Amino acid sequence: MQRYIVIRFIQTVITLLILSIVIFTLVRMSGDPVLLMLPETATEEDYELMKSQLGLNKPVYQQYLIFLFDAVKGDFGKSIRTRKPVILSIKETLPNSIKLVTVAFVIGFALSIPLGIVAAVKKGTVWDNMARVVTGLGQSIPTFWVGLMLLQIFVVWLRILPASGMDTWQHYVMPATCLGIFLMSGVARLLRSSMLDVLDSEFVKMARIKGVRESVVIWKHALRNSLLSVVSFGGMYIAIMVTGAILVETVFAWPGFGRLAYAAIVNQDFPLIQGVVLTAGAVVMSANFFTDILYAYLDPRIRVQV
Amino acid sequence: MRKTASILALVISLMLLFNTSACFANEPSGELKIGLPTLYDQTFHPIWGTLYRRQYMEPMYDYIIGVDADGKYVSEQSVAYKWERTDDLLTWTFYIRKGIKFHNGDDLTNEDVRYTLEQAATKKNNAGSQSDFMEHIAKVETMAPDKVVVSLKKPWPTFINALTALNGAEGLIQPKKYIEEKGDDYFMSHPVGSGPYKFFEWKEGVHVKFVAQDTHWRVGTPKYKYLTFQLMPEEGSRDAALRVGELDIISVGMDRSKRLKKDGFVLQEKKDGLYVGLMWIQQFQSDFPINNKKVREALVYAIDKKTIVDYILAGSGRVVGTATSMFTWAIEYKPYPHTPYDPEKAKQLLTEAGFPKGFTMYLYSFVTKLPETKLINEAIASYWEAVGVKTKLLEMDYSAFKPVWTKKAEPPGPAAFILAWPNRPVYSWRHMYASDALYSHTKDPVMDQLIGDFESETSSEGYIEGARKIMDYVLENAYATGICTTHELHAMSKDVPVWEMGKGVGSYRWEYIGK
Amino acid sequence: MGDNMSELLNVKNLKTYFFTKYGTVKAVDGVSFKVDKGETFGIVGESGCGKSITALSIMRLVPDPPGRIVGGEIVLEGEDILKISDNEMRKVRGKKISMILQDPMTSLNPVFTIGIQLEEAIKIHQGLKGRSLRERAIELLEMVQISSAAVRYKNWPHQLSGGMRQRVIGAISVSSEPRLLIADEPTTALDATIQVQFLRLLRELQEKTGVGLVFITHDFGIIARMCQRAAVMYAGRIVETGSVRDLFDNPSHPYTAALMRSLPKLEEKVERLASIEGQPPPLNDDIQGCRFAERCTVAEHQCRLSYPDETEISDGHFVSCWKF
Ligand SMILES: Nc1ncnc2c1ncn2[C@@H]1O[C@H](COP(=O)(O)OP(=O)(O)OP(=O)(O)O)[C@@H](O)[C@H]1O
Ligand SMILES: [Mg+2]
Repeated sequence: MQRYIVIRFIQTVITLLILSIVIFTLVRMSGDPVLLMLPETATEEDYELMKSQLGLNKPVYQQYLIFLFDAVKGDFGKSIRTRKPVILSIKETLPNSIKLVTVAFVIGFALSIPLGIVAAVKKGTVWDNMARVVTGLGQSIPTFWVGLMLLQIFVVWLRILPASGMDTWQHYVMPATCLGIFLMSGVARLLRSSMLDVLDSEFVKMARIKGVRESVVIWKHALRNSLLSVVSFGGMYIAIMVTGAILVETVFAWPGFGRLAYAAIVNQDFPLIQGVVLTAGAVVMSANFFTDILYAYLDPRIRVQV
Repeated sequence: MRKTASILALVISLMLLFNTSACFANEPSGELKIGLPTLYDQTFHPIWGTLYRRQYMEPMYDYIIGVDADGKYVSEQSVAYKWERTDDLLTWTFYIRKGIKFHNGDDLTNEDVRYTLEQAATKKNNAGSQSDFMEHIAKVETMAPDKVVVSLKKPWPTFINALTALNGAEGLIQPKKYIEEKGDDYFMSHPVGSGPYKFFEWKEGVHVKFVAQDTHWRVGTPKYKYLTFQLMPEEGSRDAALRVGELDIISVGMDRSKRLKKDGFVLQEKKDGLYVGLMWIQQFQSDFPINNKKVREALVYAIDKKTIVDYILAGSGRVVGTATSMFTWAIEYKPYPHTPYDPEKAKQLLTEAGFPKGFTMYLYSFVTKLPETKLINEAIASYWEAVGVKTKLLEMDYSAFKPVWTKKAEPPGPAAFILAWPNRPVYSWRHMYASDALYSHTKDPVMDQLIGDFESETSSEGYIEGARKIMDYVLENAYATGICTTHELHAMSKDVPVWEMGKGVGSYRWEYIGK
Repeated sequence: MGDNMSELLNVKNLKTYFFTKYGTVKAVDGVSFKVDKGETFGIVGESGCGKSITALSIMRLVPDPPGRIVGGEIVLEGEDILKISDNEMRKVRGKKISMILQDPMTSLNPVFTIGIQLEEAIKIHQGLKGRSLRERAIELLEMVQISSAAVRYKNWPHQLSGGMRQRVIGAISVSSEPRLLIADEPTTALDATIQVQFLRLLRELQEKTGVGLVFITHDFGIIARMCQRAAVMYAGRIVETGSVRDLFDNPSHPYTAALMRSLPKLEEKVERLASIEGQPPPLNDDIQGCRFAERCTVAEHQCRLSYPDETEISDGHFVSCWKF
């Protein structure tokens, strides 16, 4: 297990290094990197200063090292538009998104596990069809629209939830549900199919032969194995959540990382794009790393070598 | 028992008294929350960044020259309480009001006004009229005790206008000492002005909040203690927030505004507040089909402007014939007929120009003030397709598009764009059409000559005549075309008093609400 | 009736059908047989003839939907277990009847240690806890001849070889000392030497516990080695039942006879019993007559019209064929 963690960790770091090299190369290839990093209003002095900061008069490998160490220190420079240090914007928004995504994950799993199980256990019945409709809708209705519906129902009609902001738990309900629904559909479907496979397996039959209660068969023997394939897609869900977060944060005016990323790209704010991409890369990679460890923890075939 | 009761009564009546007196007390109270689809750059330096930021920046600053809601200069509202000019229009003297203080306690002096004007005439000016200021301003001097003297390189009859809310952000007075001490970068996010509202809080991507001064020389006591501009990109969310009272005023599109009105909200529109026009990108490139006058004409004939107004804008607006804002003072009096919709003629012109099979056009598509811009772009693309010109939409944000416009970044091919901009009363010909100007994609010596003639005019008749000549020339060559004007809409709760939004570009006069 | 004292299981006219979109699959269609206490009864037949479904029917674990037991009785120690509630049946499973599945590689849950899986079975039926539970588990592992059981106890299935896993499954199956153990081709997936070992182990367990054994296989060799009596199944029906001696010396049903002829040597194992020309009929066909008629060399008109009743041709030797 330790060996496995170490190997996966090294792999993660290498992937991040590759990402940094790609970004570094892209910046150098797109003409004058100094111009990318400066606002339209920049002066000659600004230009010269930036040039020496980027180490452009040094050999390429040194330039990369400067870039890398700056990135590790969290120094991505200043936004072209707001002149605010990129790292500050990231520090302000990333935790908001992480909080939102965490709650969304909890909601998503709280919904999808029972849904996936019911659909699999009651395969071919009304329950299964209902679950299919729910997850189908969750996947096909644009998150955006779900958000607006939630707003209409809970804010305008029922008046029990606030429309925007993030100060109290009430503020989390709609955006996290919205994102959670998005997640729920995928997870529930995946869980249903892996659950069906597992329920058909010999060891489930064996458990029943032993006289194990059906509820225990499902929640102990079948679920744990089905979750394995769900967890193995963990990294994918994080990526999906990042996309979902942009939409949800827009609808609910949530000051998150998704919107920062979106703004960085549409504004072509290069220092910000650079910071956002590297941070997103690090977040997704470490999420992947942790899901792999979780997977190994759940699956002794990986954790325990023969 | 009776004693308790009487004390209670006393307390209650005291409280009531206190409450009523608070109502009449002469200080700002409450919070006005305004929901906007974008806060643009979210910076607060008057001229570092797009001038649209004035939508939230304005209450924090004072203009060198103040105007009333009708756009008339009012010296009581101006920092320069008096101004004079020589007959050759080359030397302008401003007298600076005493006793105005910046929010950090510094006095506002003629040095600050000088600094403001000098900064406007540098490349740092990104607020719209950079080339005007750089072209004209030769020298700015201060003279004791309160004078600022500006020497111009050539006559500039609309100089005063350029210092007001009617034009751009250049007239907003910047605190010289503070900026020089702290630096421009710091100033961008920690602004200090002299306006009725002080900068209070900026949460990136969330809101900008201002707090009222108890009293201000220009406004008196503002009605609202706090002025908050909430960033809410999604119109549906703004709608919901307005309905439940989380917001008091929202910027809203045509469609929703009708429903909100039915549900008892007040609509406040800036009549003809937006002007929608079409311009070419790098029309001067000789290998682009749009370099050919006939092609440009064809593309203009191909657009059914009336249908755009009637269906996309639900009739809220009118088709225009001018190739620039309606209110351009020089041409306002003459109704320009608009180019009719004539697809057959368009096809014929394309054939004559040697493009019977059409070619590929690019249409930059971005939304600034008019939510329907995207639909208009799609409509134009389909009109062009109908006459055989393949049209690709390039979706992006205004900030990403701006370098294409100003820095002349290479487009993927012949391109055009629609801009919905505030319908402003004065327009700089130079900066739109002169060969070397920031926003110009025209390179035509005749045009340069016309602009030069216009700028050296000193009589106002000559000035009007010059402007008309330019406009005629632009239309004749299809260097640009107007589509329509439309009303800029806000919906607000009944509790907010209606006020005059004024005629300035991106000027909303929030600080005058309830005044 | 006096026989009833020694009778453990009596399956009468069992019918298990699958209701699929391609029609009703009559996987088990009127199967009857008896097993005595402590006896080993073999069921032999071609792949797909319904052996496993018969076994699962006895466990009442036929996947439903699409399968359902549509008729018959399964009398275990005098009680028809088709009539008891699901919950009572659950208590019967593992406790009175147990089963060993074909594939030891997939019959253990990969995410739990074998100790946990073994204890689970003991806990349910014997209510042991803590140390005594653990001791019993280790004792069972020792009983199935797993060396250093106390260590193995903590292993996950993937750490054990196939033979060891099958022995663990054996231990789980006999942990509550069931009356009846169904072994559905328990050795098919094992190497030849391991097979012999496991069969020996089963025999020993049977001697120790006196459990009645239903042994399902394709392999006549194993039938000869393990069983006292056996039944030959064909297309969802039992065609011949009798003592192993009867079947080998006097195979009476044309199908059994054909099988015996196709065996090169008695002791040799054959993978498939398909050396008879033709194929068994699809089980969703509605066949009135004898199901073997199409492949039978001596079939007559009568054979295709209706199914022959079971005839006792000698003591305890039953055949379903119009010849008798
Ligand atoms: N879930 C199911 N749905 C439909 N038909 C089924 C299902 N399970 C089994 N059957 C049918 O029941 C018949 C008997 O299957 P069974 O598994 O009992 O065969 P078997 O004799 O054990 O064969 P093998 O020797 O290959 O294990 C098969 O031919 C198959 O068509
Ligand atoms: Mg089988």
